[in-house]
Amino acid sequence: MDAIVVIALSVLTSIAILVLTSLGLAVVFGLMRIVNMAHGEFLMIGAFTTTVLVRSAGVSIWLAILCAPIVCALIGAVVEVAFIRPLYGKRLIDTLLVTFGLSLILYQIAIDIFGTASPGIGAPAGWVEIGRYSVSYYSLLLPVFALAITAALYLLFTRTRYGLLARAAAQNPEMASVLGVEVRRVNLWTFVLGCGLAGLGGGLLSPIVAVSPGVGQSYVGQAFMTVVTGGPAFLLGTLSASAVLGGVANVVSQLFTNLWGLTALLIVAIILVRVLPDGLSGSWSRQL
Amino acid sequence: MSVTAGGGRSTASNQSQIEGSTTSPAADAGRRNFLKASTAIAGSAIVGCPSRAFSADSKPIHVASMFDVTGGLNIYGLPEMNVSRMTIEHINKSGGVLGRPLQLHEYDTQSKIELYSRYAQEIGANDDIAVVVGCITGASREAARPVLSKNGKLLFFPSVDEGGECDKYTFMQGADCLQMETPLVDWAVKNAGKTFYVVAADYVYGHVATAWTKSLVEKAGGSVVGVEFVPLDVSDFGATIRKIQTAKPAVIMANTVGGNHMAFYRQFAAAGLNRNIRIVSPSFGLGNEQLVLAPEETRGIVVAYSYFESLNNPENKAFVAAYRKAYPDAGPLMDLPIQVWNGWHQWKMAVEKAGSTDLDKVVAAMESATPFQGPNGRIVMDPVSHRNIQDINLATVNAKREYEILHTQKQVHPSRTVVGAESCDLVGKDKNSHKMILPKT
Repeated sequence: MDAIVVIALSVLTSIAILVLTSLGLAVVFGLMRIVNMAHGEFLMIGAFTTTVLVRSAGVSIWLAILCAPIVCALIGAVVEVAFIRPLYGKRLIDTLLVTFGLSLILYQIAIDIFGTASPGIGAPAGWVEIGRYSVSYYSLLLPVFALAITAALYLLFTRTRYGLLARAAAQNPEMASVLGVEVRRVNLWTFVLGCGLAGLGGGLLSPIVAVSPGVGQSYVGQAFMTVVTGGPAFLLGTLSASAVLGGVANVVSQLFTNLWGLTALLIVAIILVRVLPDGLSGSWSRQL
Repeated sequence: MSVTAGGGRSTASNQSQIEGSTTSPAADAGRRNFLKASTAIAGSAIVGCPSRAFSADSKPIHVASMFDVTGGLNIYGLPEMNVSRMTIEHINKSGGVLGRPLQLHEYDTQSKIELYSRYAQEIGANDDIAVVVGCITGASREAARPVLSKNGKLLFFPSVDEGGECDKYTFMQGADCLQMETPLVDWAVKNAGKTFYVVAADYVYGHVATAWTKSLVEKAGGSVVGVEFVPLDVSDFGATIRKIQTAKPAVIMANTVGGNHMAFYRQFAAAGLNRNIRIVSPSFGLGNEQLVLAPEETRGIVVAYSYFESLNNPENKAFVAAYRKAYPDAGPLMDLPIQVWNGWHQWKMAVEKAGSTDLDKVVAAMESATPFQGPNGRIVMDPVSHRNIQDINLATVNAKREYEILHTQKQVHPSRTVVGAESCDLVGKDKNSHKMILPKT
């Protein structure tokens, strides 16, 4: 009985990790159609921000995690103005190449600053006993955070004026600007939001993975898969795709081995894209 | 690159007219050529010979190193390439090999196996290169070794590995599973418990090391209650940790490799499991895991290596001083870079004994087993297995992220057989072999 509870919690944690590492990309790629190959590096910058603040400045871990999105947002603003602004509405391959080059640069800068093995931080808050098992509190907090952030984003995009303008500017920039929307300013804010979310994901992940300059690269592929199979509803589609892919990967890992879990995730992604080429949310009425 | 004096002039006569010079065109041309020649000689004199110890007609001996300086395995590759460079410079400063300087060709394989094959082809096609000290994982070694061997290039492999290598042209520097896991298993059975759970990287090293673990644990009277193979790019260990708790072992034998696997120790400690279950590992620390992880996560992990930076001998003190001077920002030194140093020096001794870089003469000289005093103590090549007999130290990580040596076993012999399979005798039945023997897993 306790095994089933622990497995269910573990599934939720895996889904949460997928959500947290994909939300930033959902906004940048899912909404704005900018192929951000540097998404992993923004995760990494967020993770390093948290780690460095806790290690060197003695800041409390929760405050350090909150600082991660701020740093990434600032860097994202610079990146948007310098590299991304000319590319809206152009071919996908243009943004792919630019952001790929950016990811290489950011990765190498990180290696030059931090080296390959820099001190990390452990998970806060201890563990809890469930029957014969013990589970870390932090792995239980991650699903809570993931849900809270997704809910906050949903409210942002449906209830606020910015949210309305952001969706309009992304879906039909010409009509939006005719109606008086400052499309360039709104796109800047949306890109900054996406980078900030990536940073937040990295910061939240930093106590449970080994933070090194390459830490983001193993999450990029899965993030893209999640956003693409999620479909046009960039928020809820990503959430559903995370649930399906993350859930399958974890359950299969529990029953067999990690290798089969990864394989199952890839096979399910292939099947989803084949059966539902518009994504999980292709036929939903609400495209959010 | 030639240095031309007065570049940009079209003709001497034009120049005379433009500048109003009073010298004749012929004199100008003569002066130009003289300046050209003298700068060229001066330039090559500065650039050419790094040390006056070399003989006047010494051509450099070309050697190569292939390591993952970037990518997920750069935690191992970057220090190894740095030590390779440092060793070559050191050898050149003390007169080179046979009076000739060494020229190092560096190849960054970017943690991609296909680049090992490609660069091995390049090296194989390059007639000048005599020897390669390189490769990190067993998989990369198996990608490069057949190509290098076929082209008659020696390969020195500095990593700890799983054993089974049976190639006349390959020399294994690092300790093998028998040398490292035997003291670990013996220590665990005496101090922690008899039930083992194995977490291993999912490639050749992890699988073969697990086969060794199973046979050693059985011999020591224990039992393996579970095995988990984890691909190199996985960092979510939730399922693994749940399965460990179901199996309830006393000891975990961790054969983790690479940056992503460090998350295992972190998540293990986060779930509070490191209070009751001991971890022993023949691979922990090679990537300075004890620096990345927090002290409460690494407390009590027991490792076994031939080299620790705290070893107290004159060779080590000199080596560490030189390394810290050349690379002041580098992290702690672990076993792998030291074996790079040892490899170059053992090759140098063999070439000097053989009197040439001819492949078979050097192999014979290597097999004559001259001892070498490295930073990790005395090492001697075992000719039958092409592996080094070396001291093995058991150590544990303390609260200050340093290693404390628990126990030293002197001059541990490597294995000459592969667990569950045949033996390898490179001076006897296998003296023309170029293969790897896989165990029965």
